[in-house]
Amino acid sequence: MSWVTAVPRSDDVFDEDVDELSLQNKEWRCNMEKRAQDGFRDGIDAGKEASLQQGFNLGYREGAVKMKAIGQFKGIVSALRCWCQSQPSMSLEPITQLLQKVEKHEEGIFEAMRKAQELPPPSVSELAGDMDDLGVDQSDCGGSDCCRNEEDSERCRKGQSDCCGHDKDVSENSAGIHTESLFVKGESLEQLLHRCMELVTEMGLPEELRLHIQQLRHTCI
Amino acid sequence: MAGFSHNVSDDLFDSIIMADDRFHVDGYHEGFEEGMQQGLIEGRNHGMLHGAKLSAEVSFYHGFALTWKCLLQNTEDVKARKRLKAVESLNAMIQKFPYEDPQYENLQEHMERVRAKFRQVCSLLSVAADFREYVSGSEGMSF
Repeated sequence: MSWVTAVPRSDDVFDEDVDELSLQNKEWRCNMEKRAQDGFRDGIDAGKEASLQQGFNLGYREGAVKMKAIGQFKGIVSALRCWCQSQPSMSLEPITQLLQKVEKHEEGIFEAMRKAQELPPPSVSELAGDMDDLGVDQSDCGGSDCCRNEEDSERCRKGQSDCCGHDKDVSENSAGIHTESLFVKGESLEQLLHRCMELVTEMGLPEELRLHIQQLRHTCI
Repeated sequence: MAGFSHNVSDDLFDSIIMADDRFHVDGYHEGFEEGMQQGLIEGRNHGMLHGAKLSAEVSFYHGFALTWKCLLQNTEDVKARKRLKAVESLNAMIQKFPYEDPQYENLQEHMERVRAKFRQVCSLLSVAADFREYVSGSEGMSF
């Protein structure tokens, strides 16, 4: 008798119109959601292509400005070390030590930039949360790809707030990198510049050189 | 009256057909905005490293040239004069170089000239131009 109880008792079984309508409704929503998702993916690709070069140019200028002072400083200390090598009476030790610290400082700034680059950009699937905004009602959609668990959507929200903000966020991000570079372990650039000026005086080198180093101090602080 | 009902059914039919496109277009616009942001961030991170590398290299040469100019300025002998001239020419070349501009059309070409000049200066100064990180780091400069 089990086959009898398996038959639904509802009278609606024979109400074909209602069933058909809700089925079509579901199918329609699924299809439209799929269309919106396809559009979203196409849009992401096109948007990326449209802004990559602009972003590159923006970042290039920032990076170039950022390395100007430390690069020049390293050139100055390297030249001083070469000069010391040619002077038998000069001790190489202090200038070599300074050069190592300057190199470490520069490497620290590069390292901070590389770290920022390695942060994975949000993938398309992680951005699926945005589908909610497209006016497609997902709750009626039965397909497995429509159902995301809580953890996923949590990750969506985090990914969005972390990585895809507006222009304001871009500059905030840049401020973050900048701050990071200021706290590179070891001595600050200010301290290193000061040490270099001391060495220039000790070696009895031209005042003009001290002025160049002093200028760097103003460029970077 | 007949015309009116014709219009209504026509609109209804159209809106069903157009909905397909409308959802695609709506999704596209959302995605485009998102992609713009992503592209901006990815491009920026990528560009920053390139700009930083090139600037660090050029600025290094600049500091190097400035220092040697100061060191050689007050010497009288012929050899030092020749060295000073080369150092000054490297310095001038760098000052004319808008290396901070990624859209400068002769960026690569100008960079090669600066590198060649630097090597020449090093050889005149009897200094080993073994600043290896720049020589190896200069290969992946194209985007």
